[in-house]
Amino acid sequence: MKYVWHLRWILPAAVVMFIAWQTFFGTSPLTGSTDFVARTSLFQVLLPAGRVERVQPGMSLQTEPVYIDVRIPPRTVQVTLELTATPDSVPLQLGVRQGNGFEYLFKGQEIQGTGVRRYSLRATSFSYLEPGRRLRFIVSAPKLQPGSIVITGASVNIMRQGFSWAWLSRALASL
Amino acid sequence: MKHFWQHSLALNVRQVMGEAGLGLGLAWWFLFLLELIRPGLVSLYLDLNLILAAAVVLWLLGTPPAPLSRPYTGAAASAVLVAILGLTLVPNSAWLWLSLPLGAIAGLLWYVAQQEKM
Repeated sequence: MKYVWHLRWILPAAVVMFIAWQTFFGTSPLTGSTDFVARTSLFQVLLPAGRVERVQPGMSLQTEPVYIDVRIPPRTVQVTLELTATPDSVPLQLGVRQGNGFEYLFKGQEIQGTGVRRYSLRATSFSYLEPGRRLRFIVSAPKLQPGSIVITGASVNIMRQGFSWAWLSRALASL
Repeated sequence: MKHFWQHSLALNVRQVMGEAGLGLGLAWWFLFLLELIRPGLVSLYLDLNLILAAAVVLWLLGTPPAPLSRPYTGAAASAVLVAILGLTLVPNSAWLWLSLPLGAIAGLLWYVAQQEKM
C-alpha cells in the first residue's frame, strides 16, 4: 500500500506521457462522428450557426454555404469527411479550403447509401489551415431552398504518418 | 463485529480513491494549461471534462468533507454528484444512461468506505 501515495504523481506523469506519445509517435487513426447533439472535440460543425436550423433528426440548411472545421493533429496525411443527408434532400457539393480567400476544391463525391444520401471527401493536402490547425470544409448547394437539405450526421477519419526527423525539424521551424 | 478485511478494504479503497482523485486533479490542471497554450493538443486525444469529473468525484469520495462523512448521506450525495456531473459535462444520451449506474456504484463505494468509522 505504500505505493498508493505515489498515485498523485504517477497519474499526471502517465497522462502526460500518453499525450506526448500521441503527439510525436501515435499513428492510430482518429475518428469522430456527430448527430449534431453530442459534442466532439474533433470538429466544429455547420458554421455559421444562423444558417442552419435544428430539426428532428439533423440540421436543416436555410442558406448556403455552411462550413465544417476539422481540428487536425500533427503528422496528418489524410482526412476523410463523410456527411449523410435525408434521401429527399437536393444534391449538395462538398469542398475543402485550399488557400486564403474563397479557394475551395470541390471534389466531394456522392457514394452509395441505403435510405440516405451520403457524401465523402478525402483531403490529402494541408497547405492552408485555419487558426488552431483547423481544416475547413464547405457544404454548398446552389439550388438550395430553405429546408431542402437536411444533414443528419457527419463523421471524420484522420490518418497520421509515423514519426520522422524531417517532420520534427519542420514542426520546430514553424514554432 | 467487523472482520479485519472489512477495515482494511474500506481504508484501502478510500486511500486509493483519494490519491487517484488528487492525481487526476493535478493532471487536469496540467492538461488544461497545455490545451490553453495549444488548442487541440490534449482535447484531440482525451476528454478534459471527463477527467475533471472523475477527479472531483474520486477526491470527494477519498477525502470527504465532514457533513458528507455519514454513510447514507454520503452515498446519496456521491450518487447525485456523479449523475449531475455526468449529465452536465457530457450531455449525450449514452452518458445519460451510463451516469445513473455509475452514480449508484459511486454511492455504494462511499458507503463501504464509510463503514470503517462505524
